[in-house]
Amino acid sequence: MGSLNKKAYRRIKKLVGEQRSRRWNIAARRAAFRLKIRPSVKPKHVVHIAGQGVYVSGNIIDLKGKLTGLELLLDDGQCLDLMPNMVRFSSNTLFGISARGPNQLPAGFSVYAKYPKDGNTSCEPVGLRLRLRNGKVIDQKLTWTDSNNQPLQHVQKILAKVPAESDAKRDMFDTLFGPAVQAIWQSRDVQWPTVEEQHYNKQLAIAEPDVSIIVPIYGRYDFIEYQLSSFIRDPDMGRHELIYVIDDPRLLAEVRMSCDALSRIYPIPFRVLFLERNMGYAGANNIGVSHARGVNVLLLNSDVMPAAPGWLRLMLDTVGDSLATSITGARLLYEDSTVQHDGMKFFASPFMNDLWTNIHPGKGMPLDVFHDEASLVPREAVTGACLLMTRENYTSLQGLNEQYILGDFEDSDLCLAARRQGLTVQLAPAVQLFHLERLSQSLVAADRWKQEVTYFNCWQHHGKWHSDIVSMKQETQLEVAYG
Amino acid sequence: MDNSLRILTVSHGHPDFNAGGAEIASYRLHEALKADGHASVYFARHGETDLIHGGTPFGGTGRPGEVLFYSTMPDWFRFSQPDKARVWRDFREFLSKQKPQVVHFHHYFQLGLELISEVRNFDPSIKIVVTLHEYMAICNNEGQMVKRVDDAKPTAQPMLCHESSPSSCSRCFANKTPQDFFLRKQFIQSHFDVVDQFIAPSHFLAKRYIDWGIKESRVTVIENLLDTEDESKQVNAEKGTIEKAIDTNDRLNLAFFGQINRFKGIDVLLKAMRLLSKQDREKINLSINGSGLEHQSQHFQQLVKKHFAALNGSVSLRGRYTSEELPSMMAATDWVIVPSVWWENSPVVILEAKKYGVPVICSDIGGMAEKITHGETGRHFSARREESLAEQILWALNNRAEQRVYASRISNSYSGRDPYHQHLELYQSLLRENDNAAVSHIHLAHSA
Repeated sequence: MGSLNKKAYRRIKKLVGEQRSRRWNIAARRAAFRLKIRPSVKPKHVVHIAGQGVYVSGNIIDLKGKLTGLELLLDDGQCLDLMPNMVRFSSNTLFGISARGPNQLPAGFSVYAKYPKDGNTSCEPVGLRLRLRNGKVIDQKLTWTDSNNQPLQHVQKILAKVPAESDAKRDMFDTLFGPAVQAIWQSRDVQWPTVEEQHYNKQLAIAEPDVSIIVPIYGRYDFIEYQLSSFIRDPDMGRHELIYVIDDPRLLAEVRMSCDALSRIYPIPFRVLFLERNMGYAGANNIGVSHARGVNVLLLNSDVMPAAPGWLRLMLDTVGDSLATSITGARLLYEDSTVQHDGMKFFASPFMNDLWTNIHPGKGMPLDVFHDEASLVPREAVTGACLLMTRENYTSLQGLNEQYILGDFEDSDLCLAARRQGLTVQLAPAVQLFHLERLSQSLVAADRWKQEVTYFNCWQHHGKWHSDIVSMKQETQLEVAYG
Repeated sequence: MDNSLRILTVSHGHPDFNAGGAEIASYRLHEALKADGHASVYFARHGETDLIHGGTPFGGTGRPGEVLFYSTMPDWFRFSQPDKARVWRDFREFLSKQKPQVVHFHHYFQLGLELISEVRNFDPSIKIVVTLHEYMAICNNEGQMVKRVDDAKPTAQPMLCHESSPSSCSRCFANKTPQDFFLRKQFIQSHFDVVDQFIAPSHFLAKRYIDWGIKESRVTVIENLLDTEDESKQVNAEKGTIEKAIDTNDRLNLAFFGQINRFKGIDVLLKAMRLLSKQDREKINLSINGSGLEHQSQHFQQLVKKHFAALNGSVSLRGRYTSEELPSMMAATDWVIVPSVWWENSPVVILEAKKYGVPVICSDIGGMAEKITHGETGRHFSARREESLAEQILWALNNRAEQRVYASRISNSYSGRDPYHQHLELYQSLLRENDNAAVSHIHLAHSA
């Protein structure tokens, strides 16, 4: 309820008790009359993204259609017109009744305005300017929060505004949601947190490992024990180093105690990086690789379990001389021995307004229907659940892109970046591991806003790689649309 | 040269507290080893809080060569020791004191699979033997390999299960996913990987574990040991008195021995009795020896009590018995009935029936069918089918002279002390591998 409504309400309340019915009527009529004549703008969520722009969302009550312009006033005296990119939504205001004016515009609005690129880059918003049909100008103050204060919560609040089903969804992402969320996420504090490193069974570690295996941990950490109990039966693991990155500050104490005990039960060397702040999938992997000493790095999910010992040696031998010029994935299986991952393809999805999405051809099919033409097969992209490359290549590609929210599309982003640098993206079908996909996925609640995060990631990935994907599809003469 | 071995026999319980088949088998083996001059220590887990000494999981029974180890396991899904310090600190400390040459696990349940790996971590030259007593590693349903009955349908007879897989197992347990079962198996097999030799008391059980993923060469079939030396002599002396007892009885004496629960098929037996005519029933005396009914579901208890009431006069419920009472109870029995509705492995009661020369009527599945030959040492009936069991009881009633023929045949099939020697041979042959390895190292050193 805005201040005007509150005022009316206070008056009504004050009068209740003395000649109740008559006076009540009069007060209500007066309040309604005042609403009719004067348009008002009530901003509810204002996010200032330093050096980038501002996101404003709220309600416009304008029953007579008198508002003709809305501008943002900056501290350096500049004005930004908010009308062109504004998106209107139906919104319940005024005692639960949606207020619509004669132009039938819904009351709710959201808008993202970019600060002028030239001139003052440290400007801040100070107010709103309403322009009325009769030429009158009303200025009002504007309070805002900084995007760096809880960026994920701002993203969550903004994406909650996305309409459930709309043909205009992609347009809204192009003008509003996409740039706003992208700006917030890009300008968040990306300083790496303090990392505490523990080296368990150090005396057994080798100085120059062939491969550094990087396993980020978030939520469930019992997978560490399952992986250790599997790796310990594989003599080849002695040639590599194992790095767990604990990307969940809530778990630090528990995991520290657990790892100490596990290191005594499973005498293999492993390192654990405890991050004091949650970094997300990409950040955790990048920190892990920055601590790696191996010639190569293998990104591995915690719920991936080798099907047989010697798998990593087989992977290295299969890739052979192409190690320095490739990114290589493995064939991942479900626990019922059907295929979970056999590489990814890009598909312009009709369910995502023709944005490029990753699809997994062959997923869920029994292993014995796969006939492999070679020990290494080209793929458009491979999953980061098990991905091998040289550490040098990983570093020169600047690792996984940390601009995706909550883990999505980073792996295909990395594969596309690698392609741009001339690396091959391939899969070794004989290297097989089980991927207990469901167990890790169920950790994130499948609610609405998570779907919108996926849409955002998809939108961002599309904008960055659209032309690369199109030319790749043309070059390899693969079908543009799947099926 | 001293040929005596240092053996550690590990059990998930002590017969003092719980006289289950595995506890008894492991304890007998330990006693036999000691009697034979070997340095065997019986390492038994317990969960009796009264017996805990402050600051240590260890305690004693008052008998030499026995140690109690306090451990509980809230998670029965993957048999992992929740307190890892029990493993790497306490158990390791014990190993460093006793310095066994062979560690023989009779179970990992309530102890933790990690103990097995700890032996290997502590000293790779120690030989590790594991006896598999039921199908616990394969089946989360108390290792029975029968389908779990829906709690909403208590009357349903549980179906037999032939093979485990993540998806079929998860259908028995609504709160576990196929992925959970995948991880369970992987975890168990990882710890099983360090075992030098598995012992299966029956070929049937061995086959199930081989199908599940243990290499055939790693499984040896050795029957459970029932006898210490002294008892064998006693049995031979008692043979005469047993025969006399049968002569003086005009009713056909049938007996059930063991725990009373739904897996043991007590309801099948009682239903079979009810199928017999009243005249036939009057010529039969069935005694049920065992306890545990009070721990069963309300529905099952009512069912059993209903049958008892209907069979008034021909069935008697005797309750628990001690091993000292067993010879006379067996002596008063014509046929032992083993009507289990699960596969069984090597039921102690069949071993005892063999020892005391009492023929057996049993289900025609799993370990029971393997240990009793139909028409030789006993009679088979179609498992879980009361009409088939009634038919066999009727056969025994109408062919009473046959009982003696069967009795002498089953008596001859008793393995006696053989299992002890087979165990000892296994230990010795495993230790010879070490010597051979050492010798080949010396050869390599010389040739280098």
